[in-house]
Amino acid sequence: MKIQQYHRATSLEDAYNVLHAGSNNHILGGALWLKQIAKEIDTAIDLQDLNLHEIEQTETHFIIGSMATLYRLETAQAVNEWCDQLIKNSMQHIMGVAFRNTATIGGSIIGRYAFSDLLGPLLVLNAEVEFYRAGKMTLEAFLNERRMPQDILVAVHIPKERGQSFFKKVSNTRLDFAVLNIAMFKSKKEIRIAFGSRPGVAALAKEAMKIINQTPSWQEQRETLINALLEELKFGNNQRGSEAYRKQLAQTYLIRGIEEVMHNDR
Amino acid sequence: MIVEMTLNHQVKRFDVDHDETLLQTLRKHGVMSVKNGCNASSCGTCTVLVDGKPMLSCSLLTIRLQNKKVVTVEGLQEEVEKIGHYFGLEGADQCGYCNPGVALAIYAMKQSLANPSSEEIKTFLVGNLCRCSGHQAQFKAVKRYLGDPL
Amino acid sequence: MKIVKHEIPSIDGKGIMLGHKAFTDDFAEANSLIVKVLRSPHAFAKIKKINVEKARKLPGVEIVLTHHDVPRKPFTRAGQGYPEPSPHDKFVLDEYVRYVGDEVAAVAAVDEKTADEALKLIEVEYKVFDPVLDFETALHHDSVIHPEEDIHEMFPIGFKPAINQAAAYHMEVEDVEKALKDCEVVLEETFYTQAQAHAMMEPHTVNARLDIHNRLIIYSATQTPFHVRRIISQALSIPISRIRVIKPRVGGGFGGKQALHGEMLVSLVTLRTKKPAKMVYTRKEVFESSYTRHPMRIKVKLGADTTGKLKAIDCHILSDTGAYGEHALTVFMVAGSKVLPMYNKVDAVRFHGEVVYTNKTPAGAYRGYGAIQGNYAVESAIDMLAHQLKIDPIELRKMNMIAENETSPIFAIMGEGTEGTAMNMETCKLDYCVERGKTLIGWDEKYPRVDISDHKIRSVGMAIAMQGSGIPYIDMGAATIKLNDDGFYNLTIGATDIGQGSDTILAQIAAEALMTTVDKVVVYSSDTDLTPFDTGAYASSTTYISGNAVYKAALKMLELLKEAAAKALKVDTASIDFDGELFTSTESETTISLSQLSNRLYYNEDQEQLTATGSYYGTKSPPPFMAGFIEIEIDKETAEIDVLNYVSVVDCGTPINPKLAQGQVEGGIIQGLGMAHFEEVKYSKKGQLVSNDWLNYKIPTSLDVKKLTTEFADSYEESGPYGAKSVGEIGIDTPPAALANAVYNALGVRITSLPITAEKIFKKIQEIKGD
Ligand SMILES: Cc1cc2nc3c(=O)[nH]c(=O)nc-3n(C[C@H](O)[C@H](O)[C@H](O)COP(=O)(O)OP(=O)(O)OC[C@H]3O[C@@H](n4cnc5c(N)ncnc54)[C@H](O)[C@@H]3O)c2cc1C
Repeated sequence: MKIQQYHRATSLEDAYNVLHAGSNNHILGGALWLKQIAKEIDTAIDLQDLNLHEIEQTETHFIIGSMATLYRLETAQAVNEWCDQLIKNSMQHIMGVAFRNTATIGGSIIGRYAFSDLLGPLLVLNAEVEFYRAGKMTLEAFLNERRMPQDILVAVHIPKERGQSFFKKVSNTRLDFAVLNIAMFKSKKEIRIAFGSRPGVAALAKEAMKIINQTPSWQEQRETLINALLEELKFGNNQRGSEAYRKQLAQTYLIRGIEEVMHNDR
Repeated sequence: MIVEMTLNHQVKRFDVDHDETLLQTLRKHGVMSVKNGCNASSCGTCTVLVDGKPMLSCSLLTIRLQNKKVVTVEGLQEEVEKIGHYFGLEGADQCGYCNPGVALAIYAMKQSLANPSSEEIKTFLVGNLCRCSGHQAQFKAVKRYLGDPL
Repeated sequence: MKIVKHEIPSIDGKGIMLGHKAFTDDFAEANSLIVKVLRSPHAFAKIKKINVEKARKLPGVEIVLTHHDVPRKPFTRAGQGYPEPSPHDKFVLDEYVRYVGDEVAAVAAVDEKTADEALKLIEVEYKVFDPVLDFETALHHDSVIHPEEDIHEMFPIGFKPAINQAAAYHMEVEDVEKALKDCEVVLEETFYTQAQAHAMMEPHTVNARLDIHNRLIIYSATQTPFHVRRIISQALSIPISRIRVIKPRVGGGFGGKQALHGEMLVSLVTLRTKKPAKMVYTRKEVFESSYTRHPMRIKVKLGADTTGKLKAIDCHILSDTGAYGEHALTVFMVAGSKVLPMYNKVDAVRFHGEVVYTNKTPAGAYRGYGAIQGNYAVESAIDMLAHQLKIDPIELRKMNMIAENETSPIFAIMGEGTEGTAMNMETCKLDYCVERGKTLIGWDEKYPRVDISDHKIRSVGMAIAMQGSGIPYIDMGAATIKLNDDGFYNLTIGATDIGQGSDTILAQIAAEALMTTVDKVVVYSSDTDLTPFDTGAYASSTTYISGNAVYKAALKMLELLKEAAAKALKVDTASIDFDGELFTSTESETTISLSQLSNRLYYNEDQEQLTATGSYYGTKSPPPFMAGFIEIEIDKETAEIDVLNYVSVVDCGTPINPKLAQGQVEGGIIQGLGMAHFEEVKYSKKGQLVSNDWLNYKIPTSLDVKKLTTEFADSYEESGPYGAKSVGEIGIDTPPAALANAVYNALGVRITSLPITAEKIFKKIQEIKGD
């Protein structure tokens, strides 16, 4: 990766202006992914002085600064207690600790990576993303947006909700991208389920969620549930797995996940 | 551009390119313990400690490290001596290319996890690839090091 | 024994961990030119035009080399003894490029950025050909990968480039077709193995400079410094006396560093510019442009009677050597010669096949060297036969496998590229290994499977294996021991430590023989100017061959010491007794210590430097044996596999250093499991290697295998140093077959291609359900 200019932003406004000053100017998160994909950068914008690496909480939300590292979020006890360790479990097999000490939440979200192990869990936690210009929106809305924003991700807001979680990453070795990942969260109100690395980007399985949330005796509805899932979400082929295999994984872990979050009801 | 940092407990000033990685800077200045394995944040051989945390020097831009504290095994000899001792006893040394990096990761783990389980140890160290040892001897050495009363 | 068979820590491990300069790149001159290679984007093409003017003019660029600028002399990079059993089919640079990643041109510049910039300025016009990407269609393909006329074989190996054949071989003991016809049961299956990557942690690295005598001094991460020196001399037509190759610590080799990689270009740059130069392969280059394991198609036929007595084995292999024929014949032959003798009681056996060129990353030496491929096929087939006969697969093996004091006609017929060497199995504890492993894994309780839960099954599987200990009459090692004042020794050896710990175990052998401790034996190895010759670290030869050389040198040193002590004490040599520290004589009351004697020799009286050199070559290659047992947990729906335990019981003769030997076995097991389960090799339709980094090529991590259980059989090989055979490769052979057998035992599906991934098993189950 070649970098012509290095700019240490003094404010979000400053960062935003530099970002818009040239089409090949980029924000530096941990720059791990950037290094994989970008050969040459005109101006690299460093946000490290903007105090975006903190994790804070309000009455209703956790607010994760976009420059917080994955490891910091993974070891944030309060967040993980609330979400039943869902975040920690989803991040533990993204490379090693040294990697997660550098990779940032912002860089992990804004790229909307299809392989992401984090987006599914954040979806089922009803997370919102906060941009400097565009303001707040749900993560779901952001993932559905067609265009990539030329904006700065400031923070992620995770509502404080207690519940039971399930996470499964199916991968070759423990350091690989997922063939498929599944995140579930059962709050007092409902069960939410997301599938990532399908190989498309993580998405909520809304039809399946509807069935399970509206049917008390879900065990009798297994077939319907699975059919709803396979009809709603697209599972496909890539280097790491075929459509057929992904479909098998999806239905297996849909059922096992539900069993687990139901069973662990406490 | 000039970057000032503490390298192995000494303040240093480096004149670096914008895109120079910490791995490049360190090797250029004779810190030979830091190894290049993949230059793509995938193998862990280039691990160093930045403000006490293990990080991958192949993917850190030196220019971002103004006022940071960087430690390599050159700056942690006593502790690495101990880790090396247990590696020796367990026959965990083979080619050794990954060893300076893994030693730093092991040290950092000892600092941050109290009484880690076997699974926690392996999870902490999983990013430091080793193609020689089969991992088990390393794991046994780590266990003994963690139990080291010193 | 006081030193041998003791767990001495590796002598260099701690120093490396403490960060001392140790590896090749640590020794590069600070002002080295950076050498970079422009690589082919095409699988098969001819360079019509190449324009390097812009690159040459770029400030900071010192030299640009294309095929117009380099000597044209065919050679092989294989890194074998001379004459090599590999065809001389490679040029330093050529007008043809034969795989994506092949060398087109090289630049040397003052820094990496300039070198990269220069590569972009080179303009190449290619004539692109239809590449040969499927090795099963390579023979007689319309595209001829090596049409050049000046390439050749060194002796007959079946080299027919006109039909894309790099080598071929045929051997038969008795009439196999007839024997099979007479068998009551015949089993036939075809197996495929993949182009596993070595993935050693240290990339291929080399640097060079001229010294005050204008000699070329090369540091190289190599397994074969002496071959490197010879091959550079031959290919670049410079006197061998003008070259020195130094091998510092090497960050893993596994066969991948047996060959030459950057050495030719870096040498040329330094010779032409007179400046130091260096090259470190990028990880992509390591994957794409060094070496892989030879992929193979292996057809096995087993014939037996209904009691399970094996009568005939027929094995045909088609092996893919990629763009160049390095190790083509020999890897292929080892797939037979280190597998088939395990079943030595058959009436008839045939081994034959071809090694073909394709437009892919070249294949070369890789730990196991064919044996792992052959083992996967034959040891899978043996289990299949057992199931067909309804015999426990262990019982079937016990009825048919080789035992101590037995032999196989194959030993005499098949060598490595040449005829073999007849030998008896003076040590073969295979029966013990199988029995012990069976107990350790809990076979009787677990075979074939145990249901754990609604979703999970546990199962076991096993395989047996053999390897060799060097190549008889070819591999040689030499060692020199020098006595120093105060009575410590230098041990200089040609043997090449690449992380396997040979410096340590050779010091142990010397210390044991000299009745001293390892710290009194200072080792220096692998420097073509300063150490005696050694063929290098391959073919599981170091402990047995170089170890014997060290042993012989030590015995000679003892004689010299006794003579010197006798002189000092003025007694007859025969009357001298030496315990490692003190010389006593049955003829006299006076004694002299080793320290006193040494100081006397160098400072006071009868001054003389004592050095002793021992050399050794094998007259046989006593095989190590092992039994490998795997226990897995497998998901019934998704076929995801957890490896719970791998039991290895190994007969390697005396393990000179049990902990390091265990490390060799366990490292081999994990690497073998990588090939068996994790390491998928993917090519694009155009022949580009897609799995060319660690993001896409996955080697097993610390979390991927739960437990390894390793034991050694009590075994003493008379011909080896202190009873040792070899242990460097044997560990890698069994995992593919053991895993395939365990998967069958769990789910009743037989996976006949590597790697055995969850998805492959799932698909096979679907297929069976669909039928
Ligand atoms: C080798 C490797 C393996 C990986 N394996 C996995 C895996 O198994 N599972 C998984 O989920 N993920 C994986 N990842 C992805 C990783 O977890 C991170 O998500 C990724 O590296 C991005 O984080 P970063 O901090 O490095 O972002 P960067 O590389 O710094 O940034 C990525 C992109 O986001 C932009 N950006 C960064 N921060 C902001 C911001 N605040 N506002 C606006 N734009 C911003 C950058 O300009 C860039 O375009 C892997 C990545 C690598 C390199």
